[in-house]
Amino acid sequence: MRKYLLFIWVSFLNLIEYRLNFVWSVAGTIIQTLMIYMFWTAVLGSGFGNGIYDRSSIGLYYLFITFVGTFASFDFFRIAHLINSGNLGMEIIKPYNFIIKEFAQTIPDKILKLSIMILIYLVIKYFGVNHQLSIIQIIFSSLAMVLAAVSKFYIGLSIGGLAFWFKRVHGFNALFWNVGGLFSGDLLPLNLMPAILFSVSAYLPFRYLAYFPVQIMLGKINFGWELLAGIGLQLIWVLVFSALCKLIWKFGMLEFDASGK
Amino acid sequence: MKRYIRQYFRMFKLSFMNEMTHRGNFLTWAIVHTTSFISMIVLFKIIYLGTSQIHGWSQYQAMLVLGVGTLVTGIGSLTFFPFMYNFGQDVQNGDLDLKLLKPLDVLFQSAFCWVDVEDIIVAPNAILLIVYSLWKLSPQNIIINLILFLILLLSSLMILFSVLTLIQSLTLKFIRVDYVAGFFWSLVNITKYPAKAITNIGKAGLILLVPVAVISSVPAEVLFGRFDWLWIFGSVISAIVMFFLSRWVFYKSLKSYSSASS
Repeated sequence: MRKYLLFIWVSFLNLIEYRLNFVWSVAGTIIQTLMIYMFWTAVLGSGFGNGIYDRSSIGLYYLFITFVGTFASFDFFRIAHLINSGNLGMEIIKPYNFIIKEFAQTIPDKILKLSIMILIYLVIKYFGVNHQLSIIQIIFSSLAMVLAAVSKFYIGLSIGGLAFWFKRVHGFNALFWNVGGLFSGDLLPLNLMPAILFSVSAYLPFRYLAYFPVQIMLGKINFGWELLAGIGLQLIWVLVFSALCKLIWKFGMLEFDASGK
Repeated sequence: MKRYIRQYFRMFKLSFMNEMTHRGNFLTWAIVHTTSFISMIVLFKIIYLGTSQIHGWSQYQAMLVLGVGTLVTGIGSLTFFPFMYNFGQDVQNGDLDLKLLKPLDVLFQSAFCWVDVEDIIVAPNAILLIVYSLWKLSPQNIIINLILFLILLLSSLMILFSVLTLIQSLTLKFIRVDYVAGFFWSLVNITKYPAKAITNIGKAGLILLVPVAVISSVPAEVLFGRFDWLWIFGSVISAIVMFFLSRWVFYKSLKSYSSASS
């Protein structure tokens, strides 16, 4: 356990050392969220949405979407690069679990970004946006966010693992998330979609990676079967993605010769 | 000038040959870009199912903005967008030394270092949408609109190039700015929304919206025949000013470069 804490600490120091780098990553996310929010206020102002959202609730929706997105994100590129360069060989002979180490290294970034998002949320509340988060909402939305982060971690590892066979895997990542963007609630709230697309999204993993945790935060999920079913489905998707990841890495390691491509 | 054009085409050829050694990747990206583009079209379609216009912007006018924003992205990918990926690495490793030694403009060499051939499908996709939207809107005096549009398109590209040059100038001072690409892509992505349809926002919002509108909404407006001269002249003048300013900042920052690990 101590060595993983050390990885977290080193990763944190790295973040502090290259703080401008961190600022760019946060700034990009904030600008994009702000633009989408402004666009949606214009869309809602034109009569779209049958009053499901108003100016403040759509703002909160996109704030929480960004919240979950930044918390759950995972950089698959590092993994692909390790495989392509052959440096993965050095990693797997060392006395630590490579997967746990990779996850541990993402923790400082997640905590720092989460702190910034919480700060933004408090500032928005200070300026009069009416939103209440109960203790139960905080507990279950945190759980849903962690499950989304674990799912995205396994998805990232799986896509990165495709580098065992392909030299460039960015395309697979973009393809997966482009389809996902429409069904995860990133592009538009799912309850504003036509009924057929909304029904389709229930059978795909994407809505449980962003939309579902956000709905808990917004208080639009009933604390009963709806919540439990959502968490249960999140768990099932975690299992599916972890199994897929194990499969890819099991066969991928047979291809790996540590010499790079 | 001829030398630089020849240099670009040589690089295009090399990048294309390189890309064709990974045909699977090339095809995957063609699908990726098309899917991404279709998902944005679906988003706009869904919105306009519930409303006839957003503050005076009809469905096909908004689609035109999406087309123009995507066209700017497509042309950028085939020209100077690779500037955002490798420059930081070059500074960290000291590989910029090689560029400084060559008898070519350093900014040109850094910005036009290779061509993102995998993004080649983006521009034709965008042109298809633009043509379709124009057909639906059927504007008058299309030739005049088109000429003015091409001037504004060039302005948009110059503005984006200047913004990227200014950001990359920071790399020379702060060395590790890996997330520049993510930041720049965020800027590029938001140009696909009709910024001029957004009203009733505070000053902070305007600071963000004006550049976004200049890049895609203003050229799109011109294309369907709405001439807002203040915006048109503002766009051209700001493009020229920003181009020379960013160039000056880049060369000023270059003075703080002192080879590897500087």
